Amino acid sequence: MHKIRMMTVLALFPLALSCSSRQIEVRAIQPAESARMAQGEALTKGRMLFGRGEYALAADAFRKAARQNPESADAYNGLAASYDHLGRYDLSRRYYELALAFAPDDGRILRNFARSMLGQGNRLAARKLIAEAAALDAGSREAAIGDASFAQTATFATDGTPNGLAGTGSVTIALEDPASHQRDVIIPITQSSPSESTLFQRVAEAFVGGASRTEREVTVALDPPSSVREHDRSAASANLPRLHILNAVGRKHQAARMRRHLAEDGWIHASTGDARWKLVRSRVLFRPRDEAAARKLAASLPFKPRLLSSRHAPMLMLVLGRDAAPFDRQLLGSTAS
Amino acid sequence: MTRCFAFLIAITTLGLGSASGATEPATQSFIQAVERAIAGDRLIQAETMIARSGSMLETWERGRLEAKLMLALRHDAEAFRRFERLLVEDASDCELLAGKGIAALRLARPNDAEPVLLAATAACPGLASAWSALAVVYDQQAQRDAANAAYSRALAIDANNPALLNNAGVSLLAQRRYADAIGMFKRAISLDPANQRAKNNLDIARVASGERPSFDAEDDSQRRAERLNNAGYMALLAGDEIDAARYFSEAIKTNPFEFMTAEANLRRAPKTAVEDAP
Repeated sequence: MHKIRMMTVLALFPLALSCSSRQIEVRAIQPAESARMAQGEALTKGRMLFGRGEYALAADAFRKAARQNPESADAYNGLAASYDHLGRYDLSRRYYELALAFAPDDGRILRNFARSMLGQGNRLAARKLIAEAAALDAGSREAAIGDASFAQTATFATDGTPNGLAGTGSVTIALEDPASHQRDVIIPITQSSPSESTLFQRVAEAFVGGASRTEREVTVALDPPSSVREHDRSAASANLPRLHILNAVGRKHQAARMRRHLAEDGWIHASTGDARWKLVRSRVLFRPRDEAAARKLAASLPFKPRLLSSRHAPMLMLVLGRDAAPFDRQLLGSTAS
Repeated sequence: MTRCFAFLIAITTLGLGSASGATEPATQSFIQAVERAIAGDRLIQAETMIARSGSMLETWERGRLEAKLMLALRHDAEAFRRFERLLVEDASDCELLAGKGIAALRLARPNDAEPVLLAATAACPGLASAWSALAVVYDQQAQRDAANAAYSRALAIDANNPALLNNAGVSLLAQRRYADAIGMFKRAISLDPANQRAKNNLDIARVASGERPSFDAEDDSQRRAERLNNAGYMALLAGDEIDAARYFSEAIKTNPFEFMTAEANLRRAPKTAVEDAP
């Protein structure tokens, strides 16, 4: 026993010595280096996926890069551009701003942000951002500064919007107008760039019809479940937008059954939720740019939902009403058999 | 030994001198970037930049930027306090005066707002935001001529500001100068086609002037319903109950989902008008 103890001590001695040697001090730097390398890899992967049009996966890669280096303007810019392509302007705004916080003079980020604003129909904000980028570019041309890392992400193309209005003064005020004074009678005026929470709240409010309600009565999933994310690639290749199916009948798992049924028609990128209220006739709520997909969805259903366009819709939504119940019984029967 | 010390001191002094010389333009550029972010309503950017500025900014500059950010974030009471504190140190700074005035205006304290805004416009006659805020103060006090004059000064400086044009339109609407108000709202919309406030106000001005606006161009059914509801409400205020009921009914039909606001408005319309509505 004594011998074994002695041998153990002798074996551990060099190890202990090596721990206190200079080599270990050098090794201590390695994690930081490997983190940098990992961040570089995540960025490269994100750019590659972005270039291939796989925006959901690109967003994941850029998010990873941002986690590894929370001060990486490139990672935030990539993440924002990916969210733009996924139609999640509510999220992209936040990440463009974070990117600009770490690289405020980067005209490329400003132009991407402007493109995002144009996508949301906010031409004024887009013009201001492009004017700001042009002013910065003019300044940087004088300084003749080049950055190779930016050239790599030049695929986040800019648009051809002409430069226009310059930015306004540093202090601006926005006043209440007559409409908002009569808030309880006239519905509140829509903001040009609602935040994520207000956007979804508005959609929920639109569903229940009350403008002054503050409580959320409809559960709307903000992110698709992980199992749905895995299918992003096939959904992107089929050119079908994200779909959210809401159960407004109260039949257990009706939305999930509809999701399975629609997956056979190529609607792979779908999520489900329950509404706390009931609906007689089913509805398809869509953003104007998703009209073709909405019509395709409606045509593929054995009942006739009302087609309704709304810019407030965060995504394409199918709200199942009582008229969808007979078809659900069929689906239930086929599942049981 | 002494020579060595002297050499070290010289090197250190040179190093410090060059370092401070190098950071000054960088700090200036940083401050400008934060101010651009606040002016562009990129408040997450501004907040992040200020938070990570560390020792880069002097206390005074940091306080100035934070006060502006508070105002942009609509934390008006906090912004008012901060501007007031900064003005103790420099009572002649136009932007601080305008900031304090705007914060006071938003806090519904026109008596606090008016003197500082007057001081701001006197010290810096080219500050459109101060003129604009002063115009609103006069509007609230029903001093129409003074308000019109202040709006004219603001628009002469910043003619392409949709928010300013919208406010001037609202002032004209309150003066029942519907044609002029329509002109202002149209200009605001031409500069910012997504400006829903100006669109709603244009509808209201049109209905008030006896026009019957068409909402067919609005491709968003929910927004079309909102605008119809607004038009109905204006018609109701103007005493045109039949038209009001018509607008509300159409709004209810157009809205993608239940439109309880319009339904409540329709219930307010006299029963005869409701029966006449299609």
